[in-house]
Amino acid sequence: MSEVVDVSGEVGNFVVKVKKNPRYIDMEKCIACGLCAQKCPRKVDDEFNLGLNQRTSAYIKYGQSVPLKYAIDGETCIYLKRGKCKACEKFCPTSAINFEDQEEIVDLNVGAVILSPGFKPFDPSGFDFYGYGKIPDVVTSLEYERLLSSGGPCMGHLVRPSDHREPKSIAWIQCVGSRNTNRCENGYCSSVCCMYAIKEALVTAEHIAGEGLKQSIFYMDIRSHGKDFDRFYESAKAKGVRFVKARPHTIEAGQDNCGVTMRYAQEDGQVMIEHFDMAVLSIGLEPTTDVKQLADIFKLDLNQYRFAKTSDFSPACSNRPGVYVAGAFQTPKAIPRAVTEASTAAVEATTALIRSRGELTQQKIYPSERSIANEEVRIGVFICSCGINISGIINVDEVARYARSLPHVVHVENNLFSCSADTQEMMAKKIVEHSLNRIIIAACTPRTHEALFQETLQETGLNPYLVEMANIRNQNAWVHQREPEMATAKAKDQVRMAIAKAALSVPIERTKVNVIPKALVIGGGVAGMQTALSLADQNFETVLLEKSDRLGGNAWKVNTTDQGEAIRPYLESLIKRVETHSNIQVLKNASVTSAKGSVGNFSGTVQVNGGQREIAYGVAVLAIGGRESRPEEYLFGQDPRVITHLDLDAMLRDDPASLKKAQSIVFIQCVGSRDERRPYCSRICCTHSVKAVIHLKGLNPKMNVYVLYRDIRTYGEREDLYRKARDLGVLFISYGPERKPAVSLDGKDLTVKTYDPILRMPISIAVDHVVLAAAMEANDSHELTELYKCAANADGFLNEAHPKLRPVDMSVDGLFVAGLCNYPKPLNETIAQAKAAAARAAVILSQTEMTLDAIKSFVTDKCDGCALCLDVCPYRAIKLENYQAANGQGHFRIATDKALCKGCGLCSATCPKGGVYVHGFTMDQLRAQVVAALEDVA
Amino acid sequence: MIAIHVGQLARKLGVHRNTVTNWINSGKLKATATVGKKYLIDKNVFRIFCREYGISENILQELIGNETVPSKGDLPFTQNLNFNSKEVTMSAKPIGSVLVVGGGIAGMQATLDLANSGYFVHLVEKSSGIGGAMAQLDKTFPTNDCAM
Amino acid sequence: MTVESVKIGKERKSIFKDKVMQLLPDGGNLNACLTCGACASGCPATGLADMDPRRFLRMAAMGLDDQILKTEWVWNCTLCWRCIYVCPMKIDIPQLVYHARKSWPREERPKGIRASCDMALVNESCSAMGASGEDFRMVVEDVLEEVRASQPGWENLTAPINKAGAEFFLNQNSREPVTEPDEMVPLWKIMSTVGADWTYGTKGWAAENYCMFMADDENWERIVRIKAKAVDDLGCKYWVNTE
Repeated sequence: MSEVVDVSGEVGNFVVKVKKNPRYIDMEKCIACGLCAQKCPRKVDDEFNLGLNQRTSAYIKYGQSVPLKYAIDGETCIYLKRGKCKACEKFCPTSAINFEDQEEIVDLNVGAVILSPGFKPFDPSGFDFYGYGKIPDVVTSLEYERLLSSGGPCMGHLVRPSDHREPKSIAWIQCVGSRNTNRCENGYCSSVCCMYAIKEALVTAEHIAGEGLKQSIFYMDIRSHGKDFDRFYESAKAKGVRFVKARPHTIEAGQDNCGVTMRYAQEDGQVMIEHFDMAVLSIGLEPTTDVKQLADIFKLDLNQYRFAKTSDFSPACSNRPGVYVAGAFQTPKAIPRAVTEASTAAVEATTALIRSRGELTQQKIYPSERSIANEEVRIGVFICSCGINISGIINVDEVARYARSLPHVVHVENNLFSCSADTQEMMAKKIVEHSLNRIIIAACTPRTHEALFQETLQETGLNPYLVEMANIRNQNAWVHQREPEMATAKAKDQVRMAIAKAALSVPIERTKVNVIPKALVIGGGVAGMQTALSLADQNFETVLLEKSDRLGGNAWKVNTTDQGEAIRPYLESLIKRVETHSNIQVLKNASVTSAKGSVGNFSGTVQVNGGQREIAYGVAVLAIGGRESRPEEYLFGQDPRVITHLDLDAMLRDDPASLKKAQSIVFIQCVGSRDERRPYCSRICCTHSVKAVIHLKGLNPKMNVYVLYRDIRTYGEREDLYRKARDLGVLFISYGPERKPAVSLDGKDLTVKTYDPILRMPISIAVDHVVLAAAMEANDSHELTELYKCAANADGFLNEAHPKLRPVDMSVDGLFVAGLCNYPKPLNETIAQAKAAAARAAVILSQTEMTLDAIKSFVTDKCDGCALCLDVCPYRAIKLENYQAANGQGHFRIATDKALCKGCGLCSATCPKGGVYVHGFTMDQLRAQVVAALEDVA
Repeated sequence: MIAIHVGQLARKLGVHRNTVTNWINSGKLKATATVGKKYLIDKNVFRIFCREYGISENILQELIGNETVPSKGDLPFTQNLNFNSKEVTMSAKPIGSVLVVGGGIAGMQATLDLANSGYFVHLVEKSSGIGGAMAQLDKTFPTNDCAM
Repeated sequence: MTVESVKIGKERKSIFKDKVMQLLPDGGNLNACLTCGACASGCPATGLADMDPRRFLRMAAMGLDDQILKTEWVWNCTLCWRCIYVCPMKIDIPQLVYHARKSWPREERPKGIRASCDMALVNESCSAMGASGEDFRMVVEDVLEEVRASQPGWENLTAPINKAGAEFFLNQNSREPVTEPDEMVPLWKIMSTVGADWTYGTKGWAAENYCMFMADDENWERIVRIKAKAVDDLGCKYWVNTE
């Protein structure tokens, strides 16, 4: 409910004026019961659902809002506008309504600011030819998301707006409000729409049952340039999503104003007329409406599209020191990059404020844990209604009554929201009052709030692992909505099972590991150097390994960034900073030869110039880079006039005169990419081509330049370069993989033959040079993946832990990845990812010790070293060692590494001897649960 | 991080140097050995230690002079469009907190990273809840995970 | 049947397109084509003469001037502007078409249009059907008389001709007075109902301008000037152009 209204000061000491708009509901008292919204008579369009349905003036943004508190919309509330009503106040059970709430202005004294105001979805009402706003079955993609969502206006059952019938044929129109300078001013590409349309098409299949679903996507270029994006695209094609390279002129309403009719011309000129049940406009991302205000307040430079203006060398930095930018405000982007680059902004802020790390944060202190070893089991059962999520289906009173009858249970109650702050307080009181030593929470999935309940226990002095959750929401109420009686019976089973398990729960210790405040960075290219610098600037000692005898990697070979900034001067300055930084040790001709340990505590050997040395470090960042492949087609290697992009950049640097003389040059895209051998997109080549052709035209305006492409993937503001290239007279001719161009030699003449689908004629072009966009490959990572037990994907690119939630972490804790070795990317994204890796690594390094979750394996006396479990462990956390038994006999026994173990239980499931169990999930506990489950079965 | 010698700390606390060594070895006082026979102690850890052992926090203040100084490299943040960071000197110690404007996925991630590495964060969101546009999505590409 | 490759030499030139770009503001964005096909999708002439606006522009870009300056597709185009309306790059295809028309030798331009243009130049009526000012006057007066006599309520309907100082000068497509004179009446009734002070003229009365369709700039201008002068001579404030 707040916005920034003013700022003064400078980096290290800003004073920011923030206006807190009144919520009219006391957040301390609100328990989000929803009664105020139920009783509120005033209905308005629900902006969260984009006006597809309505909400009341007393509302909550969405069901899972954080904070989970209601608010009253001051603009529409009847009492606030006209002095009548106050129904909400009458019914609120906790007197949380506060009509006296006022706007409040606070001054916040901060060291740095990060601006991530997001984007505004493009409004296609001005595109009268698409009929948005007039034809009911024409919706925007964001509206479509709401229609698909289970929390949306149709509760996930997709129906079309006109007659509420299920649509069977749906068309997506791409590039609405992007790549368009006629009907709007958004010449840029919004980067995400191709992918989200494909996703929507695929997800639709999950919502529409039966045969006959036809999804069609009408596009100009399909921009699936991210990691695994091309695979996603190909899989959509395989699943029957139709991709039509055409653009309809007008969308007309279908019969009875239901559905739509579209007329479009195929690439070969044939005109088709098709009817669809719905049309979805893939709208672009614009800057938010308040971006001008923000820019004024912060004196920020914006680019011509009013996104933040940043340098490619410092993509999270604005023109103002101490003010950083992230997310779509920096440039439209998808979630993986938004998450990565948020970490980039964080580390920029961190580094600026490094002298004050830890000043204003505190470690939470818990009371010491009481021992329950000699206590009888006393269980408290808290059954959550989850508003109406659970209680709407399950009879929670009945379950509560039942729970009281079960063994060990001394206290049972029913809460509206077990996770709310006031319930935690009450729970703590009851634990003390009834001397409870095991808690059952029958509510949602542990993944949402288990950590919260564990904290509550800790705060009362109980070991956090004495709480057990019975998931009567996701695994019951949500999926048995039509069978409330059976759902209630199942909830009783679930509670009984949880009690059986909890009765056998014992306190478990969380392991602490020391953290060595040192980092190892493998790879001395721009990614490695930027990560090292970022870590070093945060006062962490860093060792930077480079395999060759020179820092810089591929950056030596590329002339400019996508925004046209010269790379060489930046590179030389970067190398100098790295080599002279007191916290960085650079080892050239070096590589890792052995590695062991885990997060916070790695050790191993490094080979430097032939000699070995030992190193110890807390985290490692892999930035081993990539390389341009050598093409195997188009006469490459057979005729010196056929070159790659890096060859061209070298010529532009060292011998531009020879290029100036050229009269005709053809670029061929996707050489070795997007084929069977490398089914991925190398991402940077389209942009590099358009940059190169602009440069060539600058050298010789009369030069004839052609680009033969499959899809031009100049995403974001790179689209401007594509436009510039076309304006300069460069001709772009598309080709499909089934009809590739051919390069041939006729005597001394080099010719490129291809088919122009627009001309509908084969053409043969005489050329002086052919420039091939050779695929990018990751440098070989086999040794490293073996050493560190991390993974690369099928294409050889190192894998991040999760593409969206953890895009720079690797799945092995303590390892991070950045740069080309993760996936091809332009320099600004490499720098962003490198800094983000430093940010994430710093979270670990800034602690002196790390606490690991306690759900880990432990070995019992029954282990006889058969080692069946060794191979099944996905984290290679088990090793065999010699063991001296009590009777003096020696045998093998396994030992598990607590830091590597993730408690998956595969070892325990495999072991035939009872030699290894998982804390919190022992065989006894699981057996007890199964027995409890089958209690009622004859 | 504060860097201390065992003897120095013992004197300040009025205890025998063996006491300090025992504390460190037993893990009661978490310290990392470093060059020159010094130990590195995290300020916060020390603060908690002081509290537990009833030691006045003034000791902490006195030891701040032993704080490890920032590196001699270029000043940490990169200055606008000129990648050659100008040395911008901050006269006073910077405030260890950050304001994040916008509670969408980017704002939330930045907030978490900052908080987890020791900076207080004020997250300002103009609507009544955080989550941004991502909360409006059903599933997200390329994994088709549920957005929530 | 194998199609012959179009051979493009090292020195490909697109003379026609370049020439037109020189004449248009921002070069008419003629280079900016994304080949998206939105134009072709909406063009009423797509498919005629195996041509559409996208292909037409592409041929110009390729320098296939020979072909595009000879295709009769340029006469199928009605310059309706549906293409540029939706073009993401706002490419002025209509102007490209227009200039292609202009490049045709006059006597090879479509006979019907040419004949109409020539006819309009015969006298100061500018009528493509060759009707004279007097012919026009007589038909108007005749029809007016009939309306007054036979349509109740319209006894005082007027259809002034050459009324000096009238506020509005209304022109009229030649087809109505020549072949469907009754179709002129609804317009008179509208003018009467709104109380407009209007007049026809005997000079410059014909609304059509076939010389424009002919891409005959000189005569297009000539005809427009005759009409403008006729309006000025009568001292009218507004020229209501029904075409």
